Amino acid sequence: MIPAAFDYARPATLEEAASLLSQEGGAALLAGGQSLITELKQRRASPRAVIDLNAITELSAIEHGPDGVRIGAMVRQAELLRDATVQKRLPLLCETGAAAGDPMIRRLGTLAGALCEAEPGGDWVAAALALDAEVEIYGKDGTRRMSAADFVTGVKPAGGLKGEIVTAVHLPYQKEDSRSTYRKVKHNAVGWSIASAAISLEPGEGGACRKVRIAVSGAPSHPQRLPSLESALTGGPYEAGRIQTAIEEALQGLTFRGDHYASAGYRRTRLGILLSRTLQELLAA
Amino acid sequence: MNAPNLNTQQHAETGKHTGKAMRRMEDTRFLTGRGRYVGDITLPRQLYAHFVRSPHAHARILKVSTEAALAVSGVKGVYCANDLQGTRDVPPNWVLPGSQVKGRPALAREIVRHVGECVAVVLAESPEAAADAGVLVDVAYDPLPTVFSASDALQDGAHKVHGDLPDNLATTFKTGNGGYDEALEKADREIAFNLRNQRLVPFPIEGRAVNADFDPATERLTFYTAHQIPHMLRRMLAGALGFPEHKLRVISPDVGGGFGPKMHFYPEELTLARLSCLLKRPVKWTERRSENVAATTHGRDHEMEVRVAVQKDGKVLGLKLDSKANVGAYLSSMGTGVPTINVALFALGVYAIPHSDVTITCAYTNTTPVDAYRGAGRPEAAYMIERVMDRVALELGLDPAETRKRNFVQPDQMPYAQPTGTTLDTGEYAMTLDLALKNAGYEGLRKEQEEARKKGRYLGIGFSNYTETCGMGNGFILQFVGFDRGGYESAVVRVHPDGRATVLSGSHSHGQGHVTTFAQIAADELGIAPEQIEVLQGDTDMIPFGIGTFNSRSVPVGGSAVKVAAGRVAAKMRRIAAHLLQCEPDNVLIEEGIFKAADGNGTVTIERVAHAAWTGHDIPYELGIGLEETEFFHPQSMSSPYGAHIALVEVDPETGEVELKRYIAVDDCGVIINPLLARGQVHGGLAQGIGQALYEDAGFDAQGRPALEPSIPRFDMLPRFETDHTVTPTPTNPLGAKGLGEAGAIGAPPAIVNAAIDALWGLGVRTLDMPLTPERVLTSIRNAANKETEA
Repeated sequence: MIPAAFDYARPATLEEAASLLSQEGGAALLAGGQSLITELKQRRASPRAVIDLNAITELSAIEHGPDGVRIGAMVRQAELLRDATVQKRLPLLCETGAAAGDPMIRRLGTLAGALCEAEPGGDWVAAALALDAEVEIYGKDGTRRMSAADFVTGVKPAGGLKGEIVTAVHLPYQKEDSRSTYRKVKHNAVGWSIASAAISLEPGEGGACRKVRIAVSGAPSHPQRLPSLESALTGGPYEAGRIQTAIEEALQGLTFRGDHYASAGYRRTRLGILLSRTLQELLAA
Repeated sequence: MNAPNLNTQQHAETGKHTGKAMRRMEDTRFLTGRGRYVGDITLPRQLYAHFVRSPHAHARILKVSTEAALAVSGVKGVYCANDLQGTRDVPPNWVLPGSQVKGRPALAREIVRHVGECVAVVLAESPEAAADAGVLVDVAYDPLPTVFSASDALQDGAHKVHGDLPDNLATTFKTGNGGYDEALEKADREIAFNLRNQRLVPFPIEGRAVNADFDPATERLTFYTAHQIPHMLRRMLAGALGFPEHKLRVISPDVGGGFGPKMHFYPEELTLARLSCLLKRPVKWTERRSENVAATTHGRDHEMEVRVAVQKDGKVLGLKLDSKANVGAYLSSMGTGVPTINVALFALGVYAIPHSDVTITCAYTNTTPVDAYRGAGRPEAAYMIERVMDRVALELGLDPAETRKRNFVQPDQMPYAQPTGTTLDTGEYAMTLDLALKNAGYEGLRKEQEEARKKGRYLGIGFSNYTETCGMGNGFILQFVGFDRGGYESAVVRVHPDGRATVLSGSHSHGQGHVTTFAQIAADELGIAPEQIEVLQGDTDMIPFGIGTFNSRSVPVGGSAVKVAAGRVAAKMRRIAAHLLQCEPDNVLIEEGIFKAADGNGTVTIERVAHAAWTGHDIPYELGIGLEETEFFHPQSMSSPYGAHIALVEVDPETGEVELKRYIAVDDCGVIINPLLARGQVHGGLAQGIGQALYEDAGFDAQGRPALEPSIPRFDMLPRFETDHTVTPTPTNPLGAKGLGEAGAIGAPPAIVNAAIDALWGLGVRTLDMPLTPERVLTSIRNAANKETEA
């Protein structure tokens, strides 16, 4: 558990960090370190340099606007979950956070870091996708924004970033009357999900949903939205048979992953049951 | 002997200090980060080791290239088997007579036989340099064909693990009184099924750790190691190394969990001791988790076929067991003993079964050596016989509790010699089961199960009435079964001139809390508070020959040694006090460090008595000097703890998920020294047993590499345990205590699996294998449904 040798830099500004990143081929950015440190210790990653973002104070702000929040890349997950406005306006994010990792991980881990890692079983990624998050990216050509769905595609590095730094995550607030939940079937060995779903429903006329957003994680090759299921459920009616068919159709388009603990086939089955049970519950509410 | 019928609640007050739920005195140190483990010990001129290990399960070593590694700054050398001339293979310490013995080589010669086997070792001035160089040692291999399971290894034409062993056979063991076929003739029917007791990775939080320090000036070797049995290790290490045992000192400081694997002697230990002697410098190694799962011994791994001949009233007339045990690539310390003796002797559990035929065949395979892990053979036996009991009940439409009662050995039959070779010393099995049924609210549970079934919910109730034996007995018996160890334990009790006491013990706590329990035992004898007593263990220079901690033996044997030694010191103190008080020793009372004559005529303090003892002042010459006694407590036979466990599960038939809703444990470990620590032992054992039932296995991949992340249960994966005790004291030691450390791990797996099968019996599920992963359970449900459709 001893990493290979690497250079270490702790810049105080974003400009400095970006400049170091452009100089150093094979540099890794250190935020909360919940993935990188393990990779270093197990020598699964051997970057020439580690650029520590922890001294860049401008990355640590939570800024609330009229319609949403901007969460700085260095905001700790625990801090985010303690924010009163986040608790009130983003219940899905908070419910997800409570199921993600453990208190020690959340004390150091960041939302931006979780999106950059985009682990196949990631909890935060599923919530960010379901909440229509956007990732703010800083590079030599300035700042740009990318939707979480474009950012997390199963290809590493997430967003195809080269020499750029994720500086914040933007999340629009949930509608006051929206119903949402995050459900997770835990991997017994490591605690990642083997099947999970982040679901947000916005009720419309006569009990039918105006807007449906569903992101899944754990079972498929990477966390993603299920657009066909979303459109099938927009507008109703919500007969069990119809929902079941829509779930099956949505799952048909996915590639599933498996391991020693839960095969691809089981994950697919379990995700189908999870979606079916959770949707029935939310639609009945 | 007909043991008294006592429940703990009435029996807890065994002494002034014993029987009390005293908090652990050692916890302040541990909880404030002041534990001192081998990894915390760094010596002057320290060298650090990094082992280069085989990624192959079976391969010929073609070439080891060390140039790049040697070029790393700070590297002292890279060593292979050739550099360890004169070193024997690590020999097993328990060899069933007639076994084919293959010990573990210190470093592999020519062939590697399991993933994780040591091929070379890098020594460097820093751990960083050792790790950097370790990845640069380039070993060229020619992979050879592999065999991973015992049943495959025993097939004709199987690939050979050792070239000179044509059949991969380590040993075959047979026991029982025979006559199964006769029993079958008298029986109403036969029930036969197969069981798998899967391989487990023991996974202590602290891995193994070694610091070997040869001092050329004194020609002594001080060997720090995270170990359960320091004296035994000294003997085994001295033998393999050819080092004079009296100049070898083994120190095992705080140990962060053992569960069995830390009582074995390992190739890394032998290699590092040899290299320290060669280089005359201390050499340190702390195991990485990836090494722990691949190179530290595994547990269990039996494939069983069982048949029972039964009457329709549930009475079992005969049992036939054929088990294939996987010992791995080499014999580890308890070699062929654990999979044979420790399983076969307990195959009949707590039941009077007239006829039995037990055969266990041990096979070499290309896997990590298998050795004792919490329970060590008894979980395999209990799993089999307890699965049998529930299966018999389900097949015959009987209640599983009632079926057990019809088969129990009765209290008036005690001590009861099982025809498989073990003797049950005490036990009131029906009483203990009745308490478990009461605590569970059994009748209500069955109603709840019925009601739930109507709503499409699948509840199941499972039982386990395990037994085992603990402590190790007479050395003669150990010799008879090829176990090169004694069955005794040592203790020294010394009262200092200030009236405080030291207890030296040959047991060795690796989390059990001996500092507290042994102090409680000594305190009752000496008439002082436990806080006035320091318990020291784990240093062979300081402590008389001992055997160490395993087999749930520390309290029954080690604690008994403390009691006997302390009792003799107390008798001596009474004689001195009697002289000072001018009365008869029998009339001297001691309480809280004050001696007084029974007639109330004057008092004398323990300080005064101890001062007289250590100076010879004020006392006649004949009373002799000192307050110190050594006891090697040597039990005649072993004690038989037992228990009745009940599990309530709910199975989701759509997902296959098994939820453990309640766990009711009633354990009988005889007299309890500290109820709080006893509960802790039960909880820990249950957690590991539940881990085996629901979550864990070694998870070998197709190349024979164990999974890096075993599914060990965390507290959020466990229910609140409902524990209780009955107390039938054992006559085999003066404490009446039986041993409890392994009980939970032995009792839990069958109770849970039985519960899951009970839940799904109506769906046509007849058997399930551990671990009960949702996928496996769901597959069984679907297969049963398909069968029904076909039929």
